[in-house]
Amino acid sequence: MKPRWRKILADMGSNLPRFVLVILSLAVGMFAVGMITGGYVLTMEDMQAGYDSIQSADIRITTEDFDENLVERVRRLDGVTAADGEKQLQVQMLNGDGEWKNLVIKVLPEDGQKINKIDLLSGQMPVGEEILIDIHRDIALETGDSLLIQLPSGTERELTITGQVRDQTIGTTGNTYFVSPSYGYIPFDTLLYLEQEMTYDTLLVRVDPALSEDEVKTLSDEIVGNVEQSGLDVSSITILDSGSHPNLGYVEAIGGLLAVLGFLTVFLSGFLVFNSMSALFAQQVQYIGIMKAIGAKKSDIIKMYMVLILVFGLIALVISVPLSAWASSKLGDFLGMRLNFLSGGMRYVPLVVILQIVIALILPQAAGIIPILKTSNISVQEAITTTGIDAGDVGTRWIDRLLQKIKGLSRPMLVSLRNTFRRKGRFILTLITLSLGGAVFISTFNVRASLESYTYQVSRYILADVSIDFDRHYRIDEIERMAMSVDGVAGVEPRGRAITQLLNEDGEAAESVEMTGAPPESDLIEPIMMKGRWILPGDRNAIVLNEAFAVRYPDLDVGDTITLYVNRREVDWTIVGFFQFLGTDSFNAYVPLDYLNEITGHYGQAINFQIIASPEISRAGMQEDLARRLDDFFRTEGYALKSSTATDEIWGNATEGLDTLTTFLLIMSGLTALVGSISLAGTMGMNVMERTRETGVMRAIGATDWQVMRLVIVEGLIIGVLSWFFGSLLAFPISYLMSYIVNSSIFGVAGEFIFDVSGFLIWLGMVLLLSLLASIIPANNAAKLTIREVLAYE
Amino acid sequence: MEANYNAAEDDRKPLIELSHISKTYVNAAGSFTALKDINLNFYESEFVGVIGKSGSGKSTLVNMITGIDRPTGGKVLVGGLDIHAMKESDQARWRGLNLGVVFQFFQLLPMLTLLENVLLPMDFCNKYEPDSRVERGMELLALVGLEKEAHKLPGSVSGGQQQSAAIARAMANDPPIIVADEPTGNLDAKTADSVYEKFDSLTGEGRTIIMITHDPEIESRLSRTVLISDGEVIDPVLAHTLSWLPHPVLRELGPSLERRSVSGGEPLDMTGVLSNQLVFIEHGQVSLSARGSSNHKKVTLLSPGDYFSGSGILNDATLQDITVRPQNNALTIATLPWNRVTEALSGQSDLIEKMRAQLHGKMSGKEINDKQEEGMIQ
Repeated sequence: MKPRWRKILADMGSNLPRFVLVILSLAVGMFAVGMITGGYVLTMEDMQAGYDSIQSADIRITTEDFDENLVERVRRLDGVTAADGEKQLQVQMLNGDGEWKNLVIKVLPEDGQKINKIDLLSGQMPVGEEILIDIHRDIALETGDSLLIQLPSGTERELTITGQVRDQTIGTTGNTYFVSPSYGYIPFDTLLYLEQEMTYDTLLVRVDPALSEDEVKTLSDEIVGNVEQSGLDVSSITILDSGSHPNLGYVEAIGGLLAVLGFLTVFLSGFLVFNSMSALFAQQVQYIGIMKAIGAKKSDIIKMYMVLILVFGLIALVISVPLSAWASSKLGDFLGMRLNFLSGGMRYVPLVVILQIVIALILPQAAGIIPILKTSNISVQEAITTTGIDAGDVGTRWIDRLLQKIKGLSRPMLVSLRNTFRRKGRFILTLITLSLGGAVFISTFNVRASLESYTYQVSRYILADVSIDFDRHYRIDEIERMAMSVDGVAGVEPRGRAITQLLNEDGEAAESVEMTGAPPESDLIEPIMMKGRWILPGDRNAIVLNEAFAVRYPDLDVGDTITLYVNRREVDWTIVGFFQFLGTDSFNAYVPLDYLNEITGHYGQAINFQIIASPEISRAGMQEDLARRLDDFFRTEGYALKSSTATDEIWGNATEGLDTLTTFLLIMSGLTALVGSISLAGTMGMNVMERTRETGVMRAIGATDWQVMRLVIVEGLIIGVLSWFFGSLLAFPISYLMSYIVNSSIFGVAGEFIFDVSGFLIWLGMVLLLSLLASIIPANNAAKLTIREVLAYE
Repeated sequence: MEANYNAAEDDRKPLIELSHISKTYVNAAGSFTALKDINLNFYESEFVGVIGKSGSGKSTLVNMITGIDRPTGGKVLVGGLDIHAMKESDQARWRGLNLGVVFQFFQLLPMLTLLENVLLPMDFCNKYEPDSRVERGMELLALVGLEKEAHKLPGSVSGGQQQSAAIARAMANDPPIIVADEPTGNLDAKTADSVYEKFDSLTGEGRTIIMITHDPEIESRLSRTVLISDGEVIDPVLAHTLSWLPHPVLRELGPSLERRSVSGGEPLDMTGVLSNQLVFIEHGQVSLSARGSSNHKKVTLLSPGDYFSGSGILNDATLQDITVRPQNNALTIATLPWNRVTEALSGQSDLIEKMRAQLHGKMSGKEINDKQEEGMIQ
């Protein structure tokens, strides 16, 4: 081996901690990039592959009861690749915690599932009086346990749980995944045990993937024609996006946040590497001087150190590739568990590995080139003579002159203050990193506040405390009277519901619209209007449409007329406004209840009632108890009650999905805090290392351990406070960006920007604490330096 | 025999006492002893120069006094306080109050103005009330002629001004001792001279200054010098009188010196033991007379820094019947057996001859008659 390379190896051996720091700095960046991109790629791949494997339905048609013959006929249609019958029952179940909860039971087709297949995660397929349970809600019961259910008739039945499944189609229709109740799956022949006909009421169809959107619509019309030819009334037709998992929006939101984090970590890594390299080369100055004195050219020096940096990059690569692949898979597992897809386990993603290799080759060289050039440019004389304190460019910039004007501080405080701005380049880099970290930290709070605000606003559509659904319409005055007799009920408001269809260009029923009839004067709805107004007293055929219409039919506007197929007749509605709801693709509309009843023939009747609890119940948080008592009451009185649910429970479930994001945001904020403090610790460490001579002088003129430590700590705190200030400013655009990413991915709208003061205050506290912690070790090191070490006379 | 190389006036109470100080550094290459059993005192108002070749141990010695480095063995008492028994942090505070340090490269903090640099030790040590510090700082800067530059950063004044500011900083807490490490090493002759003048005035105020220096011009300003060679302090008499001999020879000869005080004014007996000894005058004066070749007497007056010998060493017919008479009651001499010298210089006959010639030169005064001699001695 040539002596020059042996010298490099010897350097590495003799200065191991600093070399390890450089390698770790690189590895941190490559790890973060690997984990983030790997996690995102794996999640998207696994989610897509998993969703493709279940053969999710392209068309879903609900109708009256039918048998396997209709399914067979549909299967034979051109363009149909598969068809299944399905039936769903809504029942009440007693969970392991002794609470009655809603349970949707899906009936597995007689000849096995071909569409919307469930994944059996544990246990076995049910036979007879048995049931499988979906894992997305914890019902506190295990395989082998008996599950007690209450049928709409009030009859109770017991089913044995035979295992757990994952149903990735939850959330494709109706409620979103996070609001969905528990799901159970029974064999076809168990329907009789549950007092049901041995029939289906929903047709699921898969079509040839080569069909265009229009061809799918045409095929859907053809299927509807077939159904109607069988003498069955179609109640809803939904064309689904079978290619996208229902929770894809969350993954996209998380992907967006990961990109922000990725940018930050790459920046941090570059900064850490630059910092560590500068420190490393500062120590090499004398050796470089000696090498130049004995004949090394500048290019020789550059070559030697560039090769050294390449070795660093390769070592960091070897460390980071497997670690990031492992971390990506763990991230995928976490998201899979929370977002209802099967994680494919640990594997290497070629694209990610290539990205890491590119970073390993470029990042360290880019970060190292400036320090290398700087040190290789140094003259022999400069390099081999060490003299007094390096003043750098102190006093030459406006900031120095400004700092000199600050009076009234003690000299040690002035030392800390002016030292903060000594190494301006390093100071700015540290400030940017820490400010960015702080901005992301603060933004996570703002994004969370924005999400909560949005959820809160959406909750204003259901201001009642309990929502009661019946299986059939009842007279409004009768239910009001009955409900008011229940202790704790302060008010009742009716709702009408109708599944209607949009008509296509040919005037045929196309996609379904869930229509809600509400009293225009209702105080229980506080809508978020995107355009126009809400329904008003005196309106007849006025309709307000949700954002799905605005997205799918951008030409629709306030004042336009829309024709919907309601109760077997075409009805024209005048659009008076567009409202913001949950951001789903489903079509929702609100109309005046009386006019809806006029069309449906349910004069003075309603199927859903919103119950307002007395203030005592609300204060005590007893809404769920009231819901249960109302449930018991109406069943006992012989009403066909479908469900009685506290709205708190609905929103509790709704926020579960957001909790995943919130958890993720918290992890992000923790990471950014860590990132920022690492960079600050690095900077403080370098500052202390560079100023050892000054420290020695201060010891020589009487500074005690604590006084030396305080100089460093105050400097760290100044950087911390400044970064808080700039971070707070940066938090505004970053919050805007992150809120936009999250809200538009999940709700399909930009959402409202909320600035949560707590984020700013918590970060101030944290940045002070982190600055303190990041400065303590360097400060302690400074205090430990003996004067002889730093002043070295001879 | 234990060597004690202190100033002659040993009856004064020393301000700084180094006793049996040794310092050994251990590294991968082995151990290296920088100081070997040093016993040395410094007294109030002394301006002592510590000299020696590069690597001789002079900075290590001074570091022992400032507490910057710790001895491997022995004790350093400053004002009766064992400074190495203190913790590093306490030592820093003690140093700030009792010892001003002036560095070769000034070591002013670049981000503070000259005034702020001077105020910093006051802030660290809190000896002066905060309200009075600026006034004192300005006074100190005025003392070194920098009152107009007080609000400038070190980078914007000359090297000499920076060193003057460093001296002002060293005096910030009015310490009794100032230690300076080659304070003029980076200054031109004129600026160096002004620095020495400041040191002169400081010793005049009762401060003790210990200064490492390579500057031969400074010797006349110093109370005394301490010559360090290879970790040992060379006997000041030898260092002063035979400075032209190689340091290893001086170190070898040091332990053979014997000191004695002579009183009463009676002539020394130069025919007995002293006839084969070199005699160094450490304190006092002697008149030396010998019979010359023309039978006239040669009379010489010798002072500290001079040495002479008996005729046995000179082997010179022109200097016979040597009579040495103390000129006052406080004569201190140091004697060195000639055979120790020839042993130490074995194989270096040129040096022996040079010494003989020097002796001859020093002892060959002007020729006078008996009457004149009598008058001279009177």
